[in-house]
Amino acid sequence: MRNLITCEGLKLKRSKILLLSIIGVFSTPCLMLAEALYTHFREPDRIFTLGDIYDSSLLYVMILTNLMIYVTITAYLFSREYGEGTLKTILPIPVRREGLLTAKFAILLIWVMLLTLVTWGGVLVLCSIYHHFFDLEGYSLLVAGEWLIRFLAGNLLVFLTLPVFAYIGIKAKGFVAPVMASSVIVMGGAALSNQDLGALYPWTGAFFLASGKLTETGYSPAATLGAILLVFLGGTLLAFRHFKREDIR
Amino acid sequence: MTNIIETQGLTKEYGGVRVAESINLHLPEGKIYGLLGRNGAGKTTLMKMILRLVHPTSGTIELFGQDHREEPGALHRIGSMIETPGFYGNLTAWENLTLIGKLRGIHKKEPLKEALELVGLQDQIRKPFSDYSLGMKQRLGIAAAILHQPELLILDEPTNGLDPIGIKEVRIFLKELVRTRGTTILISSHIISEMEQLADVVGILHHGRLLEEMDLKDHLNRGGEPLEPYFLRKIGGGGIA
Repeated sequence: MRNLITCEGLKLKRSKILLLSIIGVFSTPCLMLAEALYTHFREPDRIFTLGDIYDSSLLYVMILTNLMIYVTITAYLFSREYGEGTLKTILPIPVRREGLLTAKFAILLIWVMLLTLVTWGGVLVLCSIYHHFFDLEGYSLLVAGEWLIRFLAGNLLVFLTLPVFAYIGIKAKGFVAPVMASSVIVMGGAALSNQDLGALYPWTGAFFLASGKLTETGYSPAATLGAILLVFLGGTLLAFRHFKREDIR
Repeated sequence: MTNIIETQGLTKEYGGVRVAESINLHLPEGKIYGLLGRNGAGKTTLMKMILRLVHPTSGTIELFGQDHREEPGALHRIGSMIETPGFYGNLTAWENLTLIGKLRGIHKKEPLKEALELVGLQDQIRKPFSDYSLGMKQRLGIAAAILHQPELLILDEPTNGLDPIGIKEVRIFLKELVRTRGTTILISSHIISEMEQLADVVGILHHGRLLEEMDLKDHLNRGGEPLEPYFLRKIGGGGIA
């Protein structure tokens, strides 16, 4: 399995999407800095902290920007083999179909966690620039460290919702269908991000759990986790079942 | 003589349409078996079933004397190239071969170098695969197929995109593999002259059916027709004759 994961990593060498995904998730820290500057100059008396900025950025990370980027890289990882016609080279080696998919999910997890670190680190770095000039309340590594745990846990939950997009990518053999599906999911997430019912929608539910807002909805963590696990298991089973039975034409 | 591949009643249907129908193929050890058929005759589907890329609707496949379903490990002994070779466009030829080598458990550089030299790509290894010409892609496909010195080679239209000199080189190279390593080869083509010069055994595939298997030398020694008119007569002229 380690060999398969190494090979999945090697396949990304010189791949433009790796750099593009990093630039993409860095947009969240940039937006946060812009918002902080805007607020500072518009309402100079308003006090906001590093924790507030991380709190705002978590919404972008889990429901908007990063989610769409995660879906794009999922679609890329799982559909590129069809586009480049490489399955007919790889599978007869032989490589077990289940093993190949598992390695892809492993590299996807590593990639998602890497992008999470980039976003979290980006917020920290850009806030340090703001802090240098305007003095940001509560700017400390301790606070950032607490939010790092939330970011990692939250994005792990988002990762659990990605197999369904992997399935769509495998089934459709391309980028378009998963990205279109993600736009629907993102719209749903945006609509439910301030609704109690959002606790049962896996994407907003994951956000409520990570941000600590779930208690306000009245739903239990078990219900939210159940919804996320349902999507995870459904997506994973569909992806593995379809890929195992599929004829490579 | 032992058969390396033996299929019985091998059938594949897509949505009720039979693209391969009850194929009984016999590939003797150490021979070059040429699958001859028009485009869409079922050559690629047959090869894909042998390589487990396509699941047969019915029938059996024996590889090296073992049931393919029970002994998928036989694939380790096979090298293959199906249609246009599939490699990662962002990786160089060397990186693509390294990746395939890793998956095959080959971690040394020598077999990779040797395979690239054999197909004449040793000076082009730093080029990304996406910048390769079709002929170079075919050569890299062959290099990947022979990397682990397989006992059986399955090559689907390997000379597509090659110039006449390239085609001749591949022919000489494949014959040399059979002579020196005892490799058994299953090769497909729709070019009759190519099959005539290369194959020991020819299987004529038409509309998913294996119409005939024949030892080409025996056929000609018995005073049989040259392959082209024979093939055209067998497939009913195909509107050409």
